[in-house]
Amino acid sequence: MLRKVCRALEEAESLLIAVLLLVMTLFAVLQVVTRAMSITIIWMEEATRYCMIWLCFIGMALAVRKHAHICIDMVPDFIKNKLHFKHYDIVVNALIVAFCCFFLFYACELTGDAMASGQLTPGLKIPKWTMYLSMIAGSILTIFHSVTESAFALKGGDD
Amino acid sequence: MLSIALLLGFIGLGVPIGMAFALGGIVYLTLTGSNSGIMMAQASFGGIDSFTILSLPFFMFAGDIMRYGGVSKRLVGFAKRCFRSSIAALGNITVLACALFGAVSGSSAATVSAIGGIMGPEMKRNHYKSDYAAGLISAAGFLGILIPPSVPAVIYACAAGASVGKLFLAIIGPGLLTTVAFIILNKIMIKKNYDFLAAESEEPNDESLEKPFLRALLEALPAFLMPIIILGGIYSGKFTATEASAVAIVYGLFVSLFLYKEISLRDIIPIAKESALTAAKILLIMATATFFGRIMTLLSLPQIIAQSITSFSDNRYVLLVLINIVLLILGMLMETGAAILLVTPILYPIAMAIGIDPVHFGVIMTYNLAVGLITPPMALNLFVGSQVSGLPVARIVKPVLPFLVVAMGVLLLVSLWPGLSMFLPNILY
Amino acid sequence: GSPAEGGTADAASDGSYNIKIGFMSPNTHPWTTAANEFAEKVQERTEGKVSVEVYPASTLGNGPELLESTQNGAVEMCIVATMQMSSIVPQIQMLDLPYLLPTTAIAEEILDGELGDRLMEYVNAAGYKSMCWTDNDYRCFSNNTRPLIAPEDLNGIKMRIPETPALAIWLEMIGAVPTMMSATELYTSLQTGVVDGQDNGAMLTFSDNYYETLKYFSNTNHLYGSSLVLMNNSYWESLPAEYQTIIQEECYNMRDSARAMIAEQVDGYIQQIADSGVEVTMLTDDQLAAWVESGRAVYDKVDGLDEDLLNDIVAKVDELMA
Ligand code: NA
Ligand code: NA
Repeated sequence: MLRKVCRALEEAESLLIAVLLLVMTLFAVLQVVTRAMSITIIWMEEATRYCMIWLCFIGMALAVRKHAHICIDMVPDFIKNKLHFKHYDIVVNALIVAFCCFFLFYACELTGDAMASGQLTPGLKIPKWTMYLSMIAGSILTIFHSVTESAFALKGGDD
Repeated sequence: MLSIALLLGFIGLGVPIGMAFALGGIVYLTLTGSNSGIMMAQASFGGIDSFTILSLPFFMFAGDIMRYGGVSKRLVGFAKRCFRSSIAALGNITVLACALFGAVSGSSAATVSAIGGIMGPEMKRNHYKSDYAAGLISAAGFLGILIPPSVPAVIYACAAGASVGKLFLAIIGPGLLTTVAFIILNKIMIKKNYDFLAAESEEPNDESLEKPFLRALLEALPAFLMPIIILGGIYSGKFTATEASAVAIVYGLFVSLFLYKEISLRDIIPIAKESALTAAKILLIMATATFFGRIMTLLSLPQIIAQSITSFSDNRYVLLVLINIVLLILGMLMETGAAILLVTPILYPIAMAIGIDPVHFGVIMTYNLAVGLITPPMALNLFVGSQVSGLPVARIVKPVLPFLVVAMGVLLLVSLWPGLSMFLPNILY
Repeated sequence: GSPAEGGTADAASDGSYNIKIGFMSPNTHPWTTAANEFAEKVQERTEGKVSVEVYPASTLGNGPELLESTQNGAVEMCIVATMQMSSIVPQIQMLDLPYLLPTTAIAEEILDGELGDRLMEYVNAAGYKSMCWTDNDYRCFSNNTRPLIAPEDLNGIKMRIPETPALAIWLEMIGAVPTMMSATELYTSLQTGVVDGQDNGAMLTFSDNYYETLKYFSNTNHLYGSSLVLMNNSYWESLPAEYQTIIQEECYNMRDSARAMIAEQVDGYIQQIADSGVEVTMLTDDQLAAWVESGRAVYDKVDGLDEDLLNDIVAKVDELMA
């Protein structure tokens, strides 16, 4: 059951960041086209940037699920292969969870501040906290994936 | 120093680099009882809230499309047809392509992802050892900021009040010298990094060598139009270098879907999924490295270093070498743009005091921080190189070393021989 | 406070205070000089009990980041252009209206007086302590198409502007094509012709080298570079009254010294831009009047402003101009 949820989540995250990338591309090209036609759309640059930020933090979670993050794995390889400690990944996952807890905490604080002040983005005129939400969403998803991946690693088996 | 030790510790433990930057920073803040942790979320967000960075995901996407759509294959096929005798050719083409691409893009990471996405798989297919190919791309990628336009050069010029135009001219000399040096190095290195056995067993079947020249040219023509459209579009003022990366996607899709027909509409989403994930990993590092850089600022690290170097000596050459060392160390720890903003105000007065021209100093700074792009732990080019090659970062470090040594040699020349940089601006201004 | 409160910095246990002041301008800018003087004076007058660290050139973050950091207390003080504040304090957009404050003398008279205080109240309501107003040169149009003498000369020109609705509406009204673009791309975009012009003031046009890529510069002075020196309000309230007095006084000194340096430098910058071969147009009073009229036509097209305050400011400007 849990494995199914993880797979579904992975697929959803994957699709979301792909769509974000396509939307970003569309906006950036539209900016070239509209400028050529002497039309000004004030929010387009900002919307493109915000898509990228959402892409970054959702992708952060997906990369944990896919074990795809960029890291230097000399020490982990040594521990796994030479010391035959199979579950070292769980140590790394614990540190990832630690990072996310900090990140989540401060992202909540930042989001809360932005909610309280009613801050709007300059171009789109939408509440700024909806953008900070990307960090909250990203860290919650990352924590979920780190924990479930660790559980899967302990239980063994594929996926 | 504790924060740096923490960072290195977390990276060593195998924590994803993006998260290690943040963890190193936040654990340091907690240990020292600081209460500005919210800066972590803020700086991370602000670090990637930038239009210029968009070229990174865009060029990664464009590179993937060209790869799956058969655009790169034909470009490389034609290049191979032209240089059929030389095994070093593909590597040389990669270096040249990075330099050429540098004339379009102001960002080094974008250069690695754009050229690496095309040339990396091709070099591998053509019997280059994969870690060498990845190392070559990562190193050659920094030509992206040594051939104008160059984002770090613009940042320096604004911070130091130097002329962007002059600085753009001044980086050309060192940029070209590096290009030539890398090509020579490739010719030497390739003998050890080429899989002759595999090549011999396969050579007769390589169809691109059998093709008539004209047919190879004709097939590659739509692919050749890509750089022409991009360069032409930028220089005729149709779009900016960042927007060009999005135009490259659209053109790449057009050629792949309708001319080469190697992919169909339903392939777009899977390709986008792959590119988006790759981009996200790099973006995360850029985000949290901004936060880590903020802590370096608050620790006054650059001031401390500047004080110690001026107390060390007042000899021009000694100081120059010391400045280089400081910049190299900073390049290891920080993102290029942030490092320039941080140290320019501190090192600039020292450089002026020992009589270095502001433009020449800009070249020294840009070059140093370009080298920083291939020196871990904060080595953006290696990260991107690892992404486009699918190899772990640690495996690219070794093949990059010879390039690093050559780049340091050029750097020494750049520092001690102002004429190399100032030749062009002196003629033209 | 503890990290869990995440916010406001309090005094260290020995009764000493440390203030970080951040802004975006480079280390060569008058703000840096003035802020360094401020740091020195405050330290001296409080006998080292209050130390001030100056962080120019966005080293503590860009405008929006600085504003938030000051709001949540991660940074104690900042100097930010009011143009960057519109998302936090919508009412401050009033100052983005073209030609609202047509001369430096009028701007200073109005902002430093009762009307400026009324505007500051909106800022203080967002958790800041507004220390004082300051400025950062007037924005002026420069371009590569033709010399700008009357507003109609802007017709068809692709003009890069910051993300400022009031400016965009005005430019569209007079037939120009406002374009939003990040500053890092502006230099090359002017060079290649992605945009025809830009509207940074003489100082930035010179110090960021845009003049190298431009043919025509007019001192249209369409937007006063109003800026605010802000402090985190809880931090301000945690300061002993004697230190508050010293810091407030030194803020005024910082403002005056920055203003004097900027006024002195702007003419020099215009001269240097002209010397570099850019055709500089200095508008006469009559020519400028046409620009002011054109700018004022946009005032009722921007929504959500404090109409009473706006009318009072316009009336006061008319009174001072007469
Ligand atoms: Na370049
Ligand atoms: Na580095």
